[in-house]
This record gives sequence, C-alpha cells and structure tokens, in this order.
Amino acid sequence: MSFVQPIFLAGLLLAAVPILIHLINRRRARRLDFSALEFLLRRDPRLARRLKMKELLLLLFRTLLVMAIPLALARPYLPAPSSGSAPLGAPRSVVIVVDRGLEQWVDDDRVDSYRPLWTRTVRKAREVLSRLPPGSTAAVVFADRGRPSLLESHLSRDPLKLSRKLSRIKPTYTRSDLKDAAGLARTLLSEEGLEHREIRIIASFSVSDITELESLDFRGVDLHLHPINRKKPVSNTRLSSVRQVRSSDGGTELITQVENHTPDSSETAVTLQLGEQVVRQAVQLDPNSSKEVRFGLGPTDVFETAEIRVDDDDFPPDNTFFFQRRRQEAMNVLVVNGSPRPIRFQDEVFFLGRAMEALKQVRNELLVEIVAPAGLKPATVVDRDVIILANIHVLDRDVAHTLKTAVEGGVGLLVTVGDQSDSDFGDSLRDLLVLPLREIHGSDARFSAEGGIAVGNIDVRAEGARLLSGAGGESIRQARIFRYAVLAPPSPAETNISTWITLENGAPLLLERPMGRGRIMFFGTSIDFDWTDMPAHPGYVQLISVLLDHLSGGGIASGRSQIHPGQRWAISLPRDVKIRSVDIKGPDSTVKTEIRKTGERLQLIVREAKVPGSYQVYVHLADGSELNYLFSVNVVRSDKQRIPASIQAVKKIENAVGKKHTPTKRQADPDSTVVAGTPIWHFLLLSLILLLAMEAYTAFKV
Amino acid sequence: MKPLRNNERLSELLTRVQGMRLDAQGLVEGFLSGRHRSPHHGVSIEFSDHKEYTPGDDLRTIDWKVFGRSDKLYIKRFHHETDLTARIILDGSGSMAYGPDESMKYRCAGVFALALSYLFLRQGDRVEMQVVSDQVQGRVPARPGLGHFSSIAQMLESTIPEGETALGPVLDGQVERFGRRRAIIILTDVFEDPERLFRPMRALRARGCSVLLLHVLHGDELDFPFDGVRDFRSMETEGNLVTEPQLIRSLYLKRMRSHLETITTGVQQSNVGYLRIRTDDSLEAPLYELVRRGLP
Repeated sequence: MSFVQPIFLAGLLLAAVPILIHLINRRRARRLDFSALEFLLRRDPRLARRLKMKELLLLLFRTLLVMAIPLALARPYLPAPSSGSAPLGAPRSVVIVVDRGLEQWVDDDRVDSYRPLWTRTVRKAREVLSRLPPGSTAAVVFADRGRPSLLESHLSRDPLKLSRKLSRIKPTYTRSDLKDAAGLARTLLSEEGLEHREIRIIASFSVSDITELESLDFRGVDLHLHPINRKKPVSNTRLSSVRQVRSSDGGTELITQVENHTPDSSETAVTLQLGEQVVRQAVQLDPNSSKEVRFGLGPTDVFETAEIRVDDDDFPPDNTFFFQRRRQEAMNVLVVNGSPRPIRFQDEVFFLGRAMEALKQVRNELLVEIVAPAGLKPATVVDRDVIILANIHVLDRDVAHTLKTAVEGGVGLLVTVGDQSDSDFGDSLRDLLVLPLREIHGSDARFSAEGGIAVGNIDVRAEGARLLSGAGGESIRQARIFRYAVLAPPSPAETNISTWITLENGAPLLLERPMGRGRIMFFGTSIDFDWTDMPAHPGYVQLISVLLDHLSGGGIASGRSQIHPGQRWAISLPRDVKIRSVDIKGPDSTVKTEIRKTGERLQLIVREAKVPGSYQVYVHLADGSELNYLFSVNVVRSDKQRIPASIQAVKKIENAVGKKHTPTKRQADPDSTVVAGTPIWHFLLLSLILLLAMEAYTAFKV
Repeated sequence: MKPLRNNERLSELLTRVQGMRLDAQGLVEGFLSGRHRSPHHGVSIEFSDHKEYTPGDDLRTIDWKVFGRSDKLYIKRFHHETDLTARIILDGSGSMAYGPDESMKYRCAGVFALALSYLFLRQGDRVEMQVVSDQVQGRVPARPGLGHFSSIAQMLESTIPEGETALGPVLDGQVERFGRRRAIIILTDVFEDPERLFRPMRALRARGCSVLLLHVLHGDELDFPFDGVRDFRSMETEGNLVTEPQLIRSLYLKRMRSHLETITTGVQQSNVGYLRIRTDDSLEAPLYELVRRGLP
C-alpha cells in the first residue's frame, strides 16, 4: 500500500490522544463510595470482565477513529504491480532519474524558511539508495535538458558511494527534460541491468513531463514516480530586463522591468548595486503585473558590471539581474546606396558616411559597409545590426523577404527616399515601409528664403526621440525640407506606429514601426542634401547617432545580455586578428569557447555558461594586445511555460504506465475492480463512518 | 453520627403515628393480655366458636341458650388477645452508609425503625432491636414501655455501619432464639445473596412468626444518575471499578431490575411482607402503607 499524501501519516501520532485521555481520566476519576455496583459485579464475575472488555473495545474504536482520519487524508492506494516487480528483498537494478533543473530552486513550502526543493529531492534519492537490497546495482541520471548525464558512468554496485556523491551535487539553472533521462535510464538497464529492473523518477513534475512520460515504453521495468512538488503556488517577483538609455544630461538611465508572477499583490524593494553604491526603490505590484523602475545615473557613474535585485521570494535565482555597461562596439551597419555618384559630395550617402565617420571617433567600433543595390543579396544581410536603404528604386522579392525576416529577427531598418522613390519603389518595399507610400510632395524652390517646409515638432515622448530634445533637436528644427514623401494615414488599429518628427504642415517626416524583434524607420526625405538642408545642420550627426542606437536595439542592452544559463551566444570579433588564447572569468569556471570563422566574419562562440552572473571574456591576441568583452547570464523562470502537475496526476500516470505493461491477462479483464493503483481511501472513509456508528452504539448501548 | 432522636424526619414520623396502631394479622403469642390476637382462647369480648362440653370445662362458659334449643351442652369460646414481641433487625453493614446526610440509608432505616418501635411500645408491645452486619453489632433486648425507646435510640446512634452485609447467616443462628409467633421486621438493602436471607425468613414463617422485609434503597442505587469518569469504591470490600458511568448505566439498571425481581419472587415464595423504602423520598408513605396493611 502506498499513499498519495504521505505527509498526513504524521497524524497517526494523534492515536496517542485517546489513550492519553483514557489514562488521564483514570487518574483523575472522581472517587465515589458506592456498594451497589460492586455487589452487582461480584454476583456476576463475567460481567466485570465484559465491562473491561467493552471499555478496551471502546478505547480501540476511538483510537482507530483518530487513526482513520489521517489515513483517509493520506489517500492510500494499492500500487500497480508490473511484470518486472521484484520479490521483496531480491537484488535489483535501479536507475534513479533525478530532476536537478531550475524548478529545484523553488522554495519547499514544507518548511518555514527558504529551502530549495532540491534538498527534498536528494533526501528521497538517498533514501531509495539506502534501501536497496544487498547485491543490487544502481545509477543516478540527471535529467539535464538536451544532455542527460550520469553521476557514474555505469550501474554501480556501491549505492552508498552514489549517495555520498549525490549529496555534493547542486541543482542547475536550466530546465530539465525527464523524457530523455528516462530513455537513458531504460537503455542503461537494458544493457547492464539485473533481472529485476526499476526506474525511479524523482522530480518536480510538470504537466508536459507527465504527457511525455506517458508516451514512453517501460516494458519489463518497474516505474516509480516520486513527485517533489510544491503545494502552494510559487510567489515570484523577478527582473526581466535592464535597458540603458542615454539621458539628455549625458548620463545613463537604467530602466528595469519588475514582474510580479503571483496571484496576490506584492511589495518589493528594487536594489541597484553599482560597485559600493546601493540605491533602493520600493515597488508595489498588482497581481500578475509588471512595472518599470528607473534609476538615473550621472555622467560620472561609470561601471563595467552591475546588478539589480528584488527582495527574497520563493524562487531566488531570478531575483538578481546581472548586466554590464552597454558598449557600442561592433555595431554592424549595412548601407545600400541607391544613387551612387562619382562626385563624392553628390553621392547619396556622402553626408551619412561623414556622420558615421564622426561617430566612429566616439564609439569603440562602428563597422559600416556600403553596397550598391545590386550587391544586396540575402547573404549580405546576415549578421547586420542596422540596414539603411538610401534612395533605392526597387527591391528583388527574395531580398525584400530576407530583409523582412532579418527585421523580424531583430535587425533595424531605415528607409530613406529620394529621386528614385516612385510607385515601383512603393510597391516593391510595401512590407518594409512603415505605411504605404502615397505620393511625393514639394517643389524645387530650394534655397530660397521662403522655400521648403520647416520641421514642426519633435515628439520627445517617443522612446529614442527623447535624445533629440537638447541642442541637437533645436538644430534639426532649423532645417528646411523641400521635398518629402507622403505616406497613407494609419488605420485606427495601427497603434504601434510612432511619429518622431513632424513637418510644420503636419506631415510626418520620421516614423517608426516595430516589427517582430526589430523595427523599421522611415525618413520621409533624402538622407543627403537633395531634398533637404538637414545634413548641413549640426544636429544631423546626432540624428544619425540616435537612429543607429535606436535601430540597433534602441539603446537597450539588447538581447545580447539576455543570455540564459546554458545558452550559446556569439561575440563578433574584429576581422583579421590572430587569437592566441581566450580566458573567461565568471561564476562558472567550466565555460567553453570556440572560434568560428564564417567568410570574413570572426566570431567567438561561448557555450554553457551555466551559472547566472557577469562574465568577462579576455581575448589575447598574437600581437600581445587584448580584447575585452562582457556578458551577463540571467535566469528567467516562466510559470506560463511550466504548469506543475498535481500529485494525483503523477500517481495516475504511474498507475497507467504500470497497468499498460502488466501481463495481457489483466488487460483482458476490463471488468476487474481489483486493479493496480486502486485508491482505497474510500474504503477507509467507510470504515470511519462504521467506527463512528460503533462508537455511538458502544457509548449508549453497553 | 448525628443523634437520631433530634431528627426532624423522626419527629415528623412520631407526630404522624400518634393516632395509629399496628396490628399483627396473624396470631402472636405473648405473656400479657394485649391488643393482638393470641392462638389461645381466653377472656375477651370477641366470640370465637362453640365446643362440645367435656368434663373439666368451666361451667361458666356453657351456652345455656344452645342447651335450651338442642338439649346438648356446648361451651362458648372467646378469642384471647395478647401483647406482641417485635424483633426489629437493622442492617448495619457498610453499604448502609451510602447517601448524603438525611438520606443516608442507615440513618433513614434507623429513623424508620425508631418510629416502628415507638408505635409498638405505645401499644404496649415489647420491642427488641438488633443492628447486624456480618455479626451482631448492637442489641437491645425486648422490653415493653415507652421508657425503652430511648435505650433503643441510644443503641442505634452509637452503632456505625461497617462490614459486609450478611444478615442471612446471622438470622440463621437466631431462628431458634426468636421463639414462635413473634413479629420479625428486617430493614436492609439486601446487598447479599437474597436466597441466603430468605432461608431464615422461611424458617421463621414456619414457626408462625410475622416476617416483614423493609428494603431500604437510595434513589441513586435505583437510577444510577452518575456521569464523567468515576472510581466506584465498594463500601464493604476493597474492590473498585474506574469507568464512565454512561457506558455501564443500562447494564447496571438491567442487573438491578433483575436483583429486585429475585427479591420480589423470594418474598412471594417465603410468604413474608415486603415494602421498599427510598431514602431520598418521604418516609411517611411507606409507614402509612405498613400501618394500612398491618403485620403479615
């Protein structure tokens, strides 16, 4: 007999209560000198014995009554026997599949203070190992996602050694995969197992785990599932991202997103740790909501790595968000020059190129490649951060599709217009324009005093456009626009379009629309001097800088810092460097790296940084110099992706799997009521009622 | 023990019995002329029967009117009335000490016995009082006259109820001493084998004695009204039983009913008088009933 809720068995201790009451009552019984009773009993000695018997019987009933309640609550059931069932005490081969994934960090609600579920998982596994009959063999498989691993590479004859080793293991920060691990366990048993074989899975089961396990074939193996699940919902407040935005005063604004994954409202303190500087902000969060928390840093607040924390909750690993100072190195920009001219200053991208040259002076690295429209191939688009289509005419359909896919994957696209922007342009770039192109407005009365239209408004409320609120923005306001493209008005449903700059006649000049993980921006006039005198204004460089920042990730520390434990990611290295060695310093010393060269591109691939924290990568070059990179690994736990399975569901599956592989005779008898896994707590409840009735009878009818 | 003579219940009883008389229904033998019929014929105003004259009969008793009508000599015989010797035997065993204050069984039985004594003595009868458990604990010999009342009361007051109930064996030993045609009144709770008690009673009946069993019980012994957890201690032996009275109440009452039925059957078979006295009730009712019925 096994129990669904064995915790309630602790209630059996209550059986002592009626016995104690009985003994105390006997001791405290009020004395009464009364001869009649003794005389009647003396006349019938059997009666005295009968009375004693009834009294003991009543005590027994009461004790059983008290015991029946926790027994019924523990919900006993008869476990399903399978064809592989070993006789008691017979040696067997047991493979314990242990879930050491992210969920094991969740607080065990059986104790008051924080203790991860992992403690209970290890205890259970060690208990299984310690109870193996002599001569048994055992192995422990860790259900690590993608690559289940063994504590020892074979079935060991020394379970105690396994137990000792297991006590030193810590849970990982990646999700687990029970299916693969169970598969490995099955293979191990089929290759090395004794006659009687068992697989015991000790895990925080999710609904998907259960579904996956159900599909596996456990023929010839006894399957036991030991759920190490939490009963109460996990109360988790976490930080999902940190963005770094340059503020108008030259400093940085850190914007972090605090999420409350709790059905109740929550109050937490968000703490920014910047070296020795600590800043705290209290946040009140509604149930299942998120809130933005901003920390303003001055221009002198320089840091390399930092972390932001929230208060302790049921899942500590995602309470701290590690991040590093945003760097602009290796921004890879592809400029498609739609109107190249032999005279440099007449070239479409001459002023854009000049602006980017100026930006290179203040940035670590800005990789710019300028190609003609003919050079725009799907392969050219790969690994770009920003692509600028400057006054191109038409786009090949495949290229347009590739561009769209790239944008959806996170690339920023800026489309500017010019003398080649006609209806063909509008048609071929239909999906890459913020809105459909309607017509071109303007006159050639340029450079006259009254010619052109002035910039009307810069909407500093738009993310990114805020950086144009200073002197740069004022400079842009001085610019005149002589010709400009007019787009179709947005439908009321298109609420995600934001207008950064509007002309004084109300026509939008610079618009933005997010698309997938990337964004598209449309500059409604030429990027050069043809349709506007904007390149002549100092604010032009700032505008280009802001656009590049925004398109390459909007000043966000980007997806690059959103590395999850175990995730692989690539660092783009400068071309033509000779690498001598690579060192990585961080909380996980087992991180692996590899250098990969694709065409002319050189990448450093970082693999399996399994522990959250900030990492420093030192690339030592052959010439003795050194490149330095930073990255952060952060844990994200998603409740929505993982629905915990109820203990009943686990037991149900265990029984179903057990039944599925029992001999054919059982399956041929569908009417049989005595089946494996039959819950017998109903029977106990009935016993409880019967005991109550007997108690009443005994009390009143002796 | 508090003096019985100053007892309110006794005073009340004595007041009630002032105008009463208690007659023996059967015949009693006495030494002196009294108000109870004797088995002997003697001098009285109540005609008994005629008897053929035989020489030696008193000529004064010849019924000359019969002789005139039938020419035969008959003598007239009259009932002889005599005094009565009442032997009152009071159970002085430990179980008689049950009951609080005025409803204590021994006390109530004592009051009742004193009231009876007063009644008998006032009628000119002789009263003997014995207090018995498994032995005779106190005894006042049979004497007439109200002056005897105080010696009886004094003996009852000075006796403490203790020891086992064993009236049967004690009475067995006294049957011969009691003599013939006496009134024997026994006040006991009969917490002994009833058969052991009825054996001497039957012997006494065979000797022509009037035997009256006054069964003295407290209300608690009949109703068993206890609750909680009690340590029931015997008042006569060392035995005890710790239990919840509710558990055994129905069983107790069943056994008690059976015991009372045994006594009732024994009473009928032995042809003795029987009255039950509840000590937590009025004592007047059983006294009136006794006077109404008279001695058996």
